[in-house]
Amino acid sequence: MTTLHTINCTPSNRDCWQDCLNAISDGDTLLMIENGVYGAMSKADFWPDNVQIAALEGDLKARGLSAPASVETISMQAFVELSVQHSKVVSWF
Amino acid sequence: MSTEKSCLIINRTAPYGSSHARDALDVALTSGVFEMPLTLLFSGDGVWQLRKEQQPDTIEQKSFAANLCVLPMYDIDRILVCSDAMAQRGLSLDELVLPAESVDAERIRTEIQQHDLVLTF
Repeated sequence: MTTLHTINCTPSNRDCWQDCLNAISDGDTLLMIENGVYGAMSKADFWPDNVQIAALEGDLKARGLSAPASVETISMQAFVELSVQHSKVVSWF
Repeated sequence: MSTEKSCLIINRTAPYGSSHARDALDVALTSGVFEMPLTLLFSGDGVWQLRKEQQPDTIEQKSFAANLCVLPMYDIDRILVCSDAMAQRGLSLDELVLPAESVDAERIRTEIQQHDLVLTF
């Protein structure tokens, strides 16, 4: 029973990010999409333990970003796979 | 074991500024009609939706709080509020239009895990 969390706003939207990070449990995945991918540039110690952290490749490239090693860069197809691997998806926006 | 799917609706936006709050209420009432097990969680600016003494006739809108008050008639009585969000905004439970249970981050994680479907507005 794990959850895929997607977030689509920049980290300057602190309430949204805080609510999202507070809601994540061990074994969940956090996927940054759209403007959320700016969050991928956060320092490695920003992320909770025992959570898979990922960002959507197309959205990173579109913004001229490349994610550091602490963040997994994934394709749209991998996004679909993550959606079905988890028992539910929660959107943070 | 029940085959019904349970739904958690997370309300994170203040009323009136956008349609999110009203959309969430529409979903809640529709789910209520179909007797879907439902929990409402108000966190972040969403806790403002529950504030007493809303008088939105001044901006030519209908009272959102008055609409929320019909929830018990649809047997929707699991209403949770994020304790941190309430404290940050200086709100107390007796300033809300409905009886609500104050919950911490740990409890919110548990609620997300225990519901089949989670919708955020």
